[in-house]
Amino acid sequence: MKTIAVIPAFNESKRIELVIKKTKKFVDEVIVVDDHSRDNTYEIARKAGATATRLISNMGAGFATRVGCDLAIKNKADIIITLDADGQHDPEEIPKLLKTLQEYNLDIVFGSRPRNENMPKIRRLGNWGLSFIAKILFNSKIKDTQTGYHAFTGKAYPMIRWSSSRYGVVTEFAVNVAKNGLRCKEVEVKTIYVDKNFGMRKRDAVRATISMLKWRIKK
Amino acid sequence: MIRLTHILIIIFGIVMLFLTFNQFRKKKLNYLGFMIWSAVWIILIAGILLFKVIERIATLFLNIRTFDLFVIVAILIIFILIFLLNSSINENRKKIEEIVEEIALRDAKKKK
Repeated sequence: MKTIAVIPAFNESKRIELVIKKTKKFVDEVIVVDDHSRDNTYEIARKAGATATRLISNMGAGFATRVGCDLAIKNKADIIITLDADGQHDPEEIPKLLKTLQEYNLDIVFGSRPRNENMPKIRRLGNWGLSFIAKILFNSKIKDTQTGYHAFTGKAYPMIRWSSSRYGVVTEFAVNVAKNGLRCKEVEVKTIYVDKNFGMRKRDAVRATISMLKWRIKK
Repeated sequence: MIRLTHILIIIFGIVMLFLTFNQFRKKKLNYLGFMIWSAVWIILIAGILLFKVIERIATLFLNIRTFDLFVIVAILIIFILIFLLNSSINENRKKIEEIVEEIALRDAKKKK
């Protein structure tokens, strides 16, 4: 079973090395997709031993993750792990995700973060709101649809593959899982917010909601 | 009677016709685009020159003022253009995404 971790990164030169080194212990290969950073994220990722590629333009986290997953499939991944480059997801929890995926013979495992005091209030509200809308529109059973920490099989990837380029990716991801009736489970992971001002903005949340309505009508 | 506004619109149409031809000459506009845009400006000029005929049609068949007819047609054209532009932007975005992904996958392979 070949396990590949995909890490999209943008201006993460300070944290990427540690994330790669920690992740490498649990997977066969680490793929870093540098989303046209202004710093030396790409060079650091290469030195840290990751298979790295740099996008010729800034395309967004969703696009970078998709390119990484496509590359993982090309490199014959049986299992793909996606996690953030900023240390928001602790790589030490990868075995927990992998164990659940294999033990229950699932298609996908979500690293679900409890909405506790570690999560900023506004994000807690946004997280709950988007997960609730996904539940109403798509009967999604995922409590934290906004997590970027996933483990899924290479076979399930074509059914999950998203078109969103920016932060709407996590919502589309959860929607595709619900829509295709994939076998999934949530595993509780630590709630870590390194930079409380970074990540999904209010307008991204509005866009994600509009997109969900669009997907509901379309599909 | 030809008013000042009519003359201004005719001048605008002629200038736009000239610019359209210029863009076509510089190959910034394809043949189809040239034909469509030229038709738009010619129709605009013809509409002003045949103002009386259009006025008769507008009042007789549509029961509206000529100016209202012009405004309605202009708004409809703007909506069509927005729709076409939006489709074109989406199509171009998809093409750019494909190219960026292709380069990213190729480069990753090289450095492996």
